[in-house]
Amino acid sequence: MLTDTYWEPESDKYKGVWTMRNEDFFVMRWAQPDFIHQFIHYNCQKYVGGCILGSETYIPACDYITKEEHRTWDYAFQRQELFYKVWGNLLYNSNTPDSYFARALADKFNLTDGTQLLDAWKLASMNANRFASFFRGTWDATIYTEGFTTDGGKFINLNNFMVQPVLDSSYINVSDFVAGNYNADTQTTLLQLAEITEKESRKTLGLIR
Amino acid sequence: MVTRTFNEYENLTGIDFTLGERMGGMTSEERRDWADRTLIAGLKAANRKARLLYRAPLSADKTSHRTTSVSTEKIAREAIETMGLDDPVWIEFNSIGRMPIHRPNFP
Repeated sequence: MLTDTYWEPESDKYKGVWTMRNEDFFVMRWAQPDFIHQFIHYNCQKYVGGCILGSETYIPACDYITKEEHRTWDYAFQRQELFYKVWGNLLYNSNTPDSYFARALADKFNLTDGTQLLDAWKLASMNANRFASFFRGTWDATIYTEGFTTDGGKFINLNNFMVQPVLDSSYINVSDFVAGNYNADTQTTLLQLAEITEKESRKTLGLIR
Repeated sequence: MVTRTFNEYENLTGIDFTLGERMGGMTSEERRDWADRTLIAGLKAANRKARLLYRAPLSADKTSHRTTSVSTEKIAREAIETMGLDDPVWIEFNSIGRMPIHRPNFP
């Protein structure tokens, strides 16, 4: 864990940059402006200069994920356009409203209004956040969210899933939940987590139908 | 090599490096000294100014494991503050697992 040595006292020789490392999804088109708003809110101290986004292993240039007959773009980063659009715009101006992204979706997909599509996109994206908050990764190969895999590319089995510590301390893992080692006032219980996941996933399906 | 790279590629505006993997067996001071006399010396000898992105050390001991310590952080801080570059340096922190930060709290 970092201490405050780098920024206490603040230096006039450097600014800190957070690595928003993504080794969690390459196929999925994640975009969740609410998450980014909160990230910026908690990380906008004077000693922070911004953040670096993206993966270290995957280079989104040649698109080898999409079948040729379905590909309507030139480069891989274009298939995750909204991911780059929300991060880029909000880091430049954190007051960029959702209506801007909804309008961009409407233009891209020839819709009269992109608001519902953006709402569905945000709800669907949250499942990746919940998973990575629930199942603590330690270094990049220990969690690949969309692949539901851990170290060495192995699928996460039910036993792993139950005993793995959580990343976000407002969550509770299965072992602690069963043993009663949690605070129901401050933590999201497993039942609440399951309920909101199902509720929002169903809402997403309803929006895109 | 660093100097020649900058002098050759005029659109190159800076470099970054990590005091991390492949430096196992070296102390924090040895890692800093190596970077000073190679990458940073090369950057300063180039025919124009360039920016530096200095990734915070990933290990605080002689291993390549993810560890931190106040003494290693002080070494890195002092190295950046005394390296004599005109433009501010970016110091990069890795936020996933290696160096956990406060994550937004979502249900």
